[in-house]
Amino acid sequence: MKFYFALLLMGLLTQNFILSKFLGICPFLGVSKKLNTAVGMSAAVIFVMVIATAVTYPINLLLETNDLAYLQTIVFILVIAALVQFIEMIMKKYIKSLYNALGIYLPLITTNCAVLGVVLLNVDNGYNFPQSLVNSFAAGLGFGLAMVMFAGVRGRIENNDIPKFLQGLPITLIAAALVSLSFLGFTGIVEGMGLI
Amino acid sequence: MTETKKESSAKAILLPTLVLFLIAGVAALLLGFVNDMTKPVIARRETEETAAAMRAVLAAADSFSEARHAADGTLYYVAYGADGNVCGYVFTTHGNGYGGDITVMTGIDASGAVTGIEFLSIDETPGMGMKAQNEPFRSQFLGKTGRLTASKTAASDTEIQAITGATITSNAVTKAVNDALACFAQIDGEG
Amino acid sequence: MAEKKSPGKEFSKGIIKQNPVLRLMLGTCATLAVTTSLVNGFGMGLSVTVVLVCSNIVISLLRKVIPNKVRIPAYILVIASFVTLVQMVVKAYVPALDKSLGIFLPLIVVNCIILGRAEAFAGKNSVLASALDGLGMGVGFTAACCAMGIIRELIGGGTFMTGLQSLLSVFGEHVLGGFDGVDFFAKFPILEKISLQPMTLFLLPSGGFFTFGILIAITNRIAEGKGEKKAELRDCMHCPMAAACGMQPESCEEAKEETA
Repeated sequence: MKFYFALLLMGLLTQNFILSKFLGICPFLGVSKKLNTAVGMSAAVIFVMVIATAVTYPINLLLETNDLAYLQTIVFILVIAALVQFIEMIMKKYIKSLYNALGIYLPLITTNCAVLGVVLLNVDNGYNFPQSLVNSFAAGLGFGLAMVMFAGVRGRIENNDIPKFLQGLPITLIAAALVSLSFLGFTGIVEGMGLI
Repeated sequence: MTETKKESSAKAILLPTLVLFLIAGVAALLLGFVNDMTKPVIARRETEETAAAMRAVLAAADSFSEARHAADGTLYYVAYGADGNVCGYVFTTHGNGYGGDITVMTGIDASGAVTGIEFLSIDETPGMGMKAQNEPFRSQFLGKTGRLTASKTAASDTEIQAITGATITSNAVTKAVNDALACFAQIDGEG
Repeated sequence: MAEKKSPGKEFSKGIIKQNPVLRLMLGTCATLAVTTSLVNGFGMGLSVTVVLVCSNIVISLLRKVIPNKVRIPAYILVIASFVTLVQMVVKAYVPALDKSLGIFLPLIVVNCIILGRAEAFAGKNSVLASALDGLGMGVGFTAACCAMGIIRELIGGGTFMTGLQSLLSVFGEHVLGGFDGVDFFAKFPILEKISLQPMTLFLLPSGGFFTFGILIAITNRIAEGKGEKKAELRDCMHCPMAAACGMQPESCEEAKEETA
């Protein structure tokens, strides 16, 4: 139990996917302009991350027992791409309300390095099935936390007087640097609480 | 799409399937072939690295043999000197660093003193945690026995001076070495 | 493409005018994550360039064979194969690079530059033009990674080109006279005497964002001087999912008009 809590804390704070692992930067910069799109994107990412982990875990076992671990990258990306398409179709047909909320973000996620990243990290770290699921969920939550926080920060930037050459992307990135810096303050929290 | 004539649905499904299948087949063949070529190279490199690391942590040893811990099955190496007697042990242990897992190989001589440490995998922040690989942090472990702690001052014999700004890394490495020392104590107690 | 460009232009556009990282904002994850040193940045750039050129060539060759409906899965398949190939070769012959790039080596698969170029260029153009386009974009990406790497390594660690030998180890021991980078603080002890210290912050994730922001500000300033637009996040024209996206409809149309 302690380890699951540690995984959650790491995903949210110390090993945050966006702010310390640099995974999923494109949506972080592209979709964090407004709060509601940030929330929608994060929800879709959490959803796909957990499902992708659940599907790729048995596939990876199959690959490893057959000594085909070198095919991981190619198999995972194809499975994720097919999975996202499949989820989109099912949602569109049967869960219309959910499709309206998350549907437009789903295609963007196929080529999102955060999803493939979390699957590969689970394998690299040798997590078992429940640990992988929790880790993916935590990574998704961390992604969401960064997105939502940053949407707030960006709202503030809009109202400020910014030097001309920094307007737009540069100031956004510098703001991201400051948010990332503030997350450094959580360093050691997991170890300090004696969770690992 | 701008096809002028409407294709039959069977063709519309079969053709893309066939093309994808062919590409996948060619890709799989190619990858299997390259894997066959690179696999022995990777395996050889890994054994070479392990062997080099073992020699580095226990220079006095002449040959090594694999052994498994009776209680939990951990793999370790028994080192033999030129005279054929056991002159020490090599353990591979882990610690949780800032950037993830740190794998440390520790050499311990027959008297229980650390003869050297080597990092098999370390992914810490460059300029901070990565300094664990360099002196003076590394050589602090030489000759140490018993249970070690990382501290800021390193006042006593069982204390290791932590790297400034990289306490987590220092703790993780110390923990890994402690695990190795604990393993040694168990084996030594049994034999 | 309405106008036929000369081969030289296909190559050179990716380096400065349409630099994938600094102008088109593609492949940002890898650019930020692995550029803690020049050698790492260069290694990443080289791996991406190899994958980009190979996948561009193959996709261009197959452009008439691949049905439009399944082109994205087909592209992903081709790209993933080359990434796996590069991964195996790097693991076997340059293990140090494999260790320092970590999961970002397999993640080249989802680097938007590659899928973006496949969709926007290689799927529509001749083999030679696609190869040159891939090479140019790859060199542009490598240049941006190297710039990030130099700045972060120099300010963050006070070093330059450390780890060079591990990258060159594939050519044997002691290439270039065994030159393995400079540690300015070890070489000039006076720096420490006048209480100068490397700003480790630049090696941390935060410093990556900061360096990247400043670099984009600088390129924006230069582009402005030449009367070009600022770099913005409107990668829709290169985003393979542009039709499905609908995130920024206006900028999408704007981008499409530009390519038309």
